[in-house]
Amino acid sequence: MPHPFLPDRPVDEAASLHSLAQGGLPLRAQRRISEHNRAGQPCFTSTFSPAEGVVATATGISPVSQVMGSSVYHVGFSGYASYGGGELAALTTAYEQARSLALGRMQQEATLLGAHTVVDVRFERREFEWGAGLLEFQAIGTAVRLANAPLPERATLTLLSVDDLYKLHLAGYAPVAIAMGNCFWYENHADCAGEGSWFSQELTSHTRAARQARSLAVERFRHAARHFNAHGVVGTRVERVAYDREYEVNDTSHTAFHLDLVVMGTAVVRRENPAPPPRPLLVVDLNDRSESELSFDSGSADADDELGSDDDELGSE
Amino acid sequence: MSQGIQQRPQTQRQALPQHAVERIQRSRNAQGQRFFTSDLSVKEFLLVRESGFECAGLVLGSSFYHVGYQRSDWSQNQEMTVLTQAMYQARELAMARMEEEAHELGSDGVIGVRLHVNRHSWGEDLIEFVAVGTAVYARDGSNWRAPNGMPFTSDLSGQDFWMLLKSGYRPVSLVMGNCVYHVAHQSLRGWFKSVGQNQEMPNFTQALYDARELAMERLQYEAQLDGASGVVGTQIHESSHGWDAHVIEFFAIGTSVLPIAMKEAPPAPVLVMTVNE
Repeated sequence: MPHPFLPDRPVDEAASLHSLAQGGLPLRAQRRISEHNRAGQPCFTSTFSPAEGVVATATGISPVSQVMGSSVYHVGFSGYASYGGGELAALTTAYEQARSLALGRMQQEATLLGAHTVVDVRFERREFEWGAGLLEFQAIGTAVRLANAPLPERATLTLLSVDDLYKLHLAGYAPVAIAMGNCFWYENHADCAGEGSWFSQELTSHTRAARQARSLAVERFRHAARHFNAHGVVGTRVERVAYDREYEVNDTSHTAFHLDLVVMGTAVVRRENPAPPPRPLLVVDLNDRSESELSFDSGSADADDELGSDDDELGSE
Repeated sequence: MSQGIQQRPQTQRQALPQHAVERIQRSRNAQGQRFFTSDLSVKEFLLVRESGFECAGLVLGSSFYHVGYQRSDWSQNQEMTVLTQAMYQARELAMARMEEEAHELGSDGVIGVRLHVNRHSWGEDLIEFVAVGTAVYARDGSNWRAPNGMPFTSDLSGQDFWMLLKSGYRPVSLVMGNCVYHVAHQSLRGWFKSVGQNQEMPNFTQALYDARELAMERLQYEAQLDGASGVVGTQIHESSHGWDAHVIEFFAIGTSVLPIAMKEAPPAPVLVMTVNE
């Protein structure tokens, strides 16, 4: 049955921009949250599937609201040396700042909602057809309350799904924060090394770039995790964007190999006196084989992926 | 089925095309036995039946909408309200027609609803909206309709539907919210100022943030109007639908739910290890 359309209710745009400039939330987001808090029986929203809902209940997690954080950043390239390569510190800082702003806003939304933690965070980096040099980091997750836990001063963030959080809980650990480390590296004339050569050979400058960027990013990542007094990090992922870019120094055009690397994961701490984890049940999935035998492509590896559906993974049948 | 067609709610009903009514009537033979169509997989079919439901038939609603023109200020971040409302109402129309078919079939609700937005080369400003899903009814004749008396709708698969009922909730309606937003072009002066700079652009952050907030707010508003207690499986999609790249639609969708009285506790998850992988 058609619903009436809810028109936009204007806010003070200047005040909203001011709040954003301080790293805060825009006024529309603040309003949505305060209305949610004031409602007698607020309607929860969550990114969970019903199966995740069951797992959440078993872990003592109840959803409060979908939360978001975003930051659109202008990235300017500068700081190149005329020879060699190295880290572009300005860019490392810019990417780090943009990511922290987006995550920080999501954390503010969750904290205002009186949530303990944000789970199932989808963290994306986007570029736009309409804005050259603009980059958005966007995080969307679900703010949740935990049964029998004191409310932290600020909501904790995790990159883990509800299923993973459940498994982490069984393993006797709890998440404390998202740990991140990044590095933006460039190598001058990196593509010239093998040019005109018929021989297969290692592109040492590329190897060097990959190694140096990785070790810097990992070092920062470890430092961040220690800062949260974590016992370890789980679910670590590495995202890497590599491309060639032309730039000019003293009216000379150069092509440099650029590498943007970020390492992130969920920092965890041991819980006190956890129960021993249950032993997993061994199951034989009868689906798998029959379907691959029916397939006419011999030895197709893809058939397995398709069958590894969600319900298998949740193990809740 | 045992319960017969229920009292029709009075407001805002959709008239169906004649052949749709005939098709629905033909789904019952002279002995009153039903023949159903569905787009459920066999797994979904099994679980729908396991939850005590039967398929009533594949239901569909569609709407061709002429999306009007709206002038956008080149340098302004603003909502394109004409476009937002057009995109919203067209989806609502397609949904309402699908619900009407489900109602005619005497079903309790529709699962696995998918919303498609199509553009055709032969119609520049025409957008086609299609809602399609499988109508189901409770075998024991109990009433599962939404509080407004119409069949429930949801984008949940058969497996998710089964799981939702097991977890102590029932679907109420497929809720959505959207916002078509024009993102400002940067002025030449602004562009020169930002060259070489690394900084946040609060006006762009605000534009994208606001557009998503508005879509979410509208989704929550729908859920509240439908008397739901929450929304599961929310997603936010973005698309330019072939407009200028500066014009983006943010579309939030999810299934609103209400708690039900539970005879047994929700199933406890079991850790399993698949041997053959």
